[in-house]
Amino acid sequence: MLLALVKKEWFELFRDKRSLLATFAYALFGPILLFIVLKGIIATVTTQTDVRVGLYQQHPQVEYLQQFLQYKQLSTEFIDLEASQALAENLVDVVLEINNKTTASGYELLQINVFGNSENSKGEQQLRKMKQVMASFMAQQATDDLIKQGASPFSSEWQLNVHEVNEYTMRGKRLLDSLLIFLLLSPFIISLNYINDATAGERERGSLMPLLSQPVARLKIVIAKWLVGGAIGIVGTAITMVLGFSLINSLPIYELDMQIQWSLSVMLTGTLILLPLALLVTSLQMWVAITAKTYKEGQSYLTMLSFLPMLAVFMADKWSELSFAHALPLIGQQQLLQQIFSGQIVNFPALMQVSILSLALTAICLLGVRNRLNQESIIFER
Amino acid sequence: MIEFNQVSKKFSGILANQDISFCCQPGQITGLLGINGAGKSTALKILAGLLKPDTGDVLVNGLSVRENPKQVQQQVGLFLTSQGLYSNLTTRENIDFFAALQGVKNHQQATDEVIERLHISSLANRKVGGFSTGERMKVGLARALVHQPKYLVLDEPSRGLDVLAIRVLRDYLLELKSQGCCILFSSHVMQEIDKLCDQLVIIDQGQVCFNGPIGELKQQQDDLEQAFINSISKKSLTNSAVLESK
Repeated sequence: MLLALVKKEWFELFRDKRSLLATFAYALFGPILLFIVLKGIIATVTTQTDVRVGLYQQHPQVEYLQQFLQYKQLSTEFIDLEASQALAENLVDVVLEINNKTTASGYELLQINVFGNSENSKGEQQLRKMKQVMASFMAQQATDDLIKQGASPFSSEWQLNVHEVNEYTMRGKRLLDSLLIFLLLSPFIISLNYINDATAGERERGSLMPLLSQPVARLKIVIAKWLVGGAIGIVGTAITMVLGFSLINSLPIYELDMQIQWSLSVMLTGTLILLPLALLVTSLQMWVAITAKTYKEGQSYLTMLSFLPMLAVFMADKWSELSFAHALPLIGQQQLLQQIFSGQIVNFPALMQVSILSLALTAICLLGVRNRLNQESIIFER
Repeated sequence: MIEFNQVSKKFSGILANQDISFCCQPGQITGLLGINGAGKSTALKILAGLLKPDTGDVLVNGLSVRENPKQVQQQVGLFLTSQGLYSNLTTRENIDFFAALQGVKNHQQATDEVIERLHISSLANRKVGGFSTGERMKVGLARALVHQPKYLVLDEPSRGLDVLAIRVLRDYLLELKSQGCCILFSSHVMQEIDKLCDQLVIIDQGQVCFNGPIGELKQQQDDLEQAFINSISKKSLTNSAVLESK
């Protein structure tokens, strides 16, 4: 009898091509979109910024500055126009101007003015690069001045060296967290359509009542729907993970301070971590959607439910302060995924705890759905 | 025999059924009449094991719906709505699915037999999705009959059907009656009740206000529609008129 119920659910799902496409769209197209976005970010970060430098005024020291800029592989040219006009006509990207300046105490200084246009991201990058180059020039001048005065530039007993002992930077961690949201969201999105159709959709079409009037235990009806929903949730999530992380790993993600461990064992462990979550999500969606009288109403409830993974990841730092956080569904799975993707050994006791709690909650949700099917409000579709 | 014994059911303070008692005999068609909201569907849902009565019980072939709902469901063929078909499944798959749920041992053979019996072979391998109301009714009826029940319960089976489809349905029901099937059906169509029913039960405001042979009601008034209106309370008529005007 259970087989007949599962078969019917299977046919209902796989014969509706549009619904099937919607079910697996996230798993198939989501990773590709993510790949394109990350590729774009990496390209932006790693693009060499070319700067055309205009040198204004034939100051005696300008040639010295020009030599330094050429040493830094920047193209330079002398201009006669005002800085603002040269930039407006796009003759150069940045203009440098050297002026003599006398201070109140009578010292003669050489002042370098940098002009640039930061109204777009390219101009902003060019100006930022120029500031870095000029900071380097100033540091060089300070060293040269000390040498000229007969003092060693290394005479100070203080020297600053910064060593980053961490393997991953905060930026890399944050990026990995964003990828985990994408992964944790997948069981919510993938099984949403099917579960909504199999619960609220059946109520709306009036096919639930004839089903309930048959000599079949209601728990069997619930389990059949859950098995099909859970199966597509697991398969879809595994596709999302394998496709997504394979594509991402083909990119030079080290440019974003990111490293992702990707191997067959990581893939299998990841699936093992996500399996109880996919089953829990399916049962939770059923419990929520069965209260809806129409497909549209069910869709609203399930969409709101899909915000849960974001809550888990965005508040990850807060959750980690709790001693039992590793055992909580979603949070525990997020922590475990973080471990395996960053090359740490998976915490098996934590995996067992979160999996057992997820499956226990799944059973509670399924019994809850069974109880709801006994409610008169469901029978009477009120 | 189907026996309603003092069945009462309350929903949010409103008595949908109040001490309902009547019997349906094998080889007879019993019509259940009443205006909208009178309590007909509630009574049929209690019989189908979908709702539990607050008091009283329904017995089908001596089996209590309250105590043995699954066994009763195996003996009853239900046609509660022609809408509840699975549109992505073919006619054959729809019927076969319900045969499997009823625990019919050779359900594929049973499906073929009912398809042949109801002359719907041309629909057998087509998906139900694009069917007309009449075609859906036939599939729904086949689904209710696939396990060869001795009791058949139909809730407004002719709703939305054209004249020809109603005639087909009428012929099916008469054929089943001649085979000794006990049929209980609710309807608003007086002509249909007049042509089919042996017994009549009229429910008004959750209570049985007439229970007997159709001829008995017609003795009071030859026109069945007028006889029905005479039997229900003035309050129901007023309420119904108010609803109509809205």
